[in-house]
This record gives sequence, C-alpha cells and structure tokens, in this order.
Amino acid sequence: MVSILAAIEQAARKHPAKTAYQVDQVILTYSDLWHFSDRVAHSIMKLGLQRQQPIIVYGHMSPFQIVAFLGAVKAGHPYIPVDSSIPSERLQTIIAASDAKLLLSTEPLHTNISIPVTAVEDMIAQPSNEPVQPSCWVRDEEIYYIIYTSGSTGKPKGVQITASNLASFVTWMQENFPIQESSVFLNQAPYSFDLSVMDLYPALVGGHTLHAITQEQIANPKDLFDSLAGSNSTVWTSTPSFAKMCLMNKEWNQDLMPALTTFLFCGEVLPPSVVKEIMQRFPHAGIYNLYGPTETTVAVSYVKVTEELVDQFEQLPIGPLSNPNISLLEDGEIVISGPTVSAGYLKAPELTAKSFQLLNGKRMYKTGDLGYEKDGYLFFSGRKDYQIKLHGYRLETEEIEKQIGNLPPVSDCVVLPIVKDDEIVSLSTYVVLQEPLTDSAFKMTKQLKSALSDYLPSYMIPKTFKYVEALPLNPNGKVDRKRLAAWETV
Amino acid sequence: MEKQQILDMLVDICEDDIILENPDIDLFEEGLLDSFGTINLLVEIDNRFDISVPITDFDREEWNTPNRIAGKLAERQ
Repeated sequence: MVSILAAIEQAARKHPAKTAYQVDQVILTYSDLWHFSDRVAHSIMKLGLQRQQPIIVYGHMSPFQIVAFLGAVKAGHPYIPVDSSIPSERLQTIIAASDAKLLLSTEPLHTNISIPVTAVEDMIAQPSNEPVQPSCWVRDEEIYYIIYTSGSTGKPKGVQITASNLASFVTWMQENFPIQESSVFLNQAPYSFDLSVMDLYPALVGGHTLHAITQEQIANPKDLFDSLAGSNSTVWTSTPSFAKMCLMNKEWNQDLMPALTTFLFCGEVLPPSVVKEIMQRFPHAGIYNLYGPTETTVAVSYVKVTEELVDQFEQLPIGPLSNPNISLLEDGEIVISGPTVSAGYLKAPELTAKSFQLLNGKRMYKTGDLGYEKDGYLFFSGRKDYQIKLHGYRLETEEIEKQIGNLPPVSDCVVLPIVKDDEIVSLSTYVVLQEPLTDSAFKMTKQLKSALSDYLPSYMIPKTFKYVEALPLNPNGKVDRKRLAAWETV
Repeated sequence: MEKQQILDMLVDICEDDIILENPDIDLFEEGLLDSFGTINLLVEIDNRFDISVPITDFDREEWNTPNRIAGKLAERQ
C-alpha cells in the first residue's frame, strides 16, 4: 500500500518547483513543503516528546498549516487540526482531553494556554536541510491525525485516524475518481473538518496542486469568486451547502471555471435541485455524491450522479448496494467495516466500545445513520439520535444543550433544528431561566449568545432564543421534542 | 417598496422580531445573518422587490443593518 509521506517525497523529488499549495497569492512549492516539514520535524524531535503524543496545529489556511501537518507525522506524532475560528474554551477542552503537549501555530493565538506554543514560521527559520529518517515517520497502525467532532456528552470527541486508514482512503480515491495528471484541487473546508482530507491528501500524494479558499473570502463573495476564477481548479470538493451558495452567483459556471471537470460532494444530503443546476452550468463536469462519517476516514461510498439517476429518484442514493464494507442492521442502522475504520475515540474507551464493535468477526463502526435499500442502491433516511447536519457541519444538539444549560442564568433548555423545505436551515432553543426575565429578551439573548461563543463555534450557536416558563413534557416525563417541534413548524 | 416590507422580510429571514425594535442592529455581529443567510437575503430581495443584487456587490461592511439594507435597496430601485 502507498505510504502517504513516501509518495509526497517522490512528488517533491520529481518536480520540486511545482506548486503544492496556493492560498490568497501565496505559493508553496513541493520542495519547500518537503524541506520545511523536515525542519519542523527536527524541531519537534528535539523536544523529547513521547512518540505518538498528539500535537495541536492551530490556524486556518496558511501554507504553513500543511507544513506543520507533515512535520508532525514525520516526527512520529499525530496532529490535531484546530481552526482559528474555534473558541478558546473549546481549544482548552481539546488540549486537556487529548493530553497534547505542544501547539504549533500558523496564526496568532489570543489566549493563554497551558502547553508550549511555537510558531511554525520560527521552526522553519532554522536553516537546515537535513532529512528526517523515514523510520521516524508515523506508520501503519499508528495514529496519523485526530479530528474532534461534536459529542453528545457535552464534550467534543477525538476521532483517531491511522496511517493505514488514510493510505486506504487515498488509494480508494485514486482508484475510483477520474483525476488527471496535474490537477488542481479546491479546498473549501477548514482543516478541523475531515472533508478537507478528501482534497488535501489525494492532491499531495498525486503531486497535484491544492488551491485553498479562506473564510474571509467566503464572507466577501467578490473575493471568493475572484479566487475561484483564478484557481484553475479541476476538482471541486465541498459540502452541497457551499455549492448552493455559489449557485446564487449567476456567473458561477463553466466560463468562470473552465478547467473544472469533477465535483465531489460529501458531508450532508445532496439535493437533486443542486445537481440539476450544476449540470446546466457545468455541462462537461462529472458529479459525485460521496458518503461516510469521520470515523471511517472521510468517505467510503459514492455514486456518480447522472441525469438518469436524478430522474429516477426523488432523493439521491449514497452508494451502490454492492459495496462490501457497508451493511444495514435490522433496525436500518448503517454499519461500516473495512480498512478505513478508525482506531476509535482518543482516551474515550466507553464511547469507542459503544460505536466500534465486532460484528460477524469484523470490526465495524455503527454510524447512527439510518438507511434503506432500493433498486440496487443505498439511501440515507435520517439519524438514530439527535445528531444533525447544518450547512454541512456535523453537530450534536445535546452538546449545545449542555453548554447552554451550563450558563448561570439558565435552568433548562432544548435545542431544535428549524426545518424548511425538508432541510435544516437553523437552530432554535427554548430556554427556562433561573429567574424570570427582568430586562428585555433581546438583552438576555445577546448575553447568552456572547457567553456561549466562548465555548462553541459560531455554527453551533442557535439563531433564536425563546424564553418559556417550563418545557413541555411527554407522558414519560421527558421533554416533549415533538410538541416543541410542532411549535416550530414554519 | 416600503421600508416596512424590507423589515418584514428581514424578520422572516433572521427569524427575530428584534429587527423591528432596533433597525440599526448589526445583523452579522449578532449572529442573525451569516454567509448562508446572505444568500437567502439576496434571493428574497429578488423575489419580493424584483431587485437583483449581484452577490459580488454585497459588501458585509455596507449591508450590515436593516436601515443600511433599506438604504441600499432604495438606491437600486
């Protein structure tokens, strides 16, 4: 099987001056990527950390971000990507939960944390081109990266992906998708989401170019489309929500991005309406709907979306039934086996045992997703629990409830997704306060939102807060979510 | 196009009556609008007032409050 690092080294030897990464107007060549990450690895190795101790990489889309990823794994450590949009308290939680002993930053960190912080830039400044011995690299069943995802216990959980998980995933990508030589991959997702892995490693392992777009560009659509137009992208990877946003610009089409030949969508349900519109705008591009949770390394199945498929089904399938690694339990839960099943949650044996189980002698991940079969395809039909996808972000409403419940003025609360046209568009929360409201509800909401933003990223903060004297209960004494949801019907 | 219609539209999009109480509220800072809400807003402007605002003309700094949005739309009418 392919070694991720050996393949990137080969790409760096073959064409050292080629662009490995571009963002804003900044370019990183394969040669720089390789040598800079060696320097980072050497600096890490001097610190005498225990092998496989996780290292946090904090920042956004800087080229040094991927230098730090490779530097960490070259030194034998898994990295934990933490996007700079993540609030400080959540960063502290991740540091404590992961027992990380070092944080590498590519952006200024405006908070005091309990472990040493080193700027990647400073590590690179030390002039040395001594290679790191491949025997030091993270290998086989060792952990390569850890991605933290929303957890229903109130704390995020760290999904551990091994070197062989990642290598299996990249091989699967190479075998199943038409990736031409000298491709340019687009990266839209922050590195703290594993959707980014879908473009990052296929791009680097194949010696291609990765074009990253930043949150700042997304917030200023003119910059976003300028960046897209100048990117020469051939492979588009994003959530359907992001594409939907781009579709709003009538100029987003084949003329703006003439080289684009492949769309890869993952992370949430792909609506047929989005596909139809993209087919018209990009008549020469192939569109793929991929499926898979973070716990099984990015994605495990896909369908190529054709016009016939769109006409045949109201909802798009997430894979063919023939996929040997996917099966359905009796209650309809989707379970996944095979070489990309994660090593489990970091330092959380109980959570791991609950979701990663041996079934028929094979190690499987119970996704919590519900599915059904029809006409030779597998379809997604919902969740067993309160996990939801909002604009492609995976979140547990229970985690948000716990964080709101921890705020001093709050006595109880429930978080509900707001659904419009079969799609979750925002979150709403019903809050019971300790003391009756004395000031305006608006001021209270402002105060609660502000307090919450220390603990939760902005996409997890409910849009509307409603204050009630008590939450409705069902006959079993539990909060009656159905009744509340009925209040929410728009 | 009445200003009240614009405020009503914003109440629908932001799902919050605060817009009527405080038309100078910063919609982005208060978490009432984000990138997805922005898109929604432009679609609604087109649907309700037949004014098409190219997404590339939308500058967050200038379209951040109900009053400013009303001003921008009045210019474009």
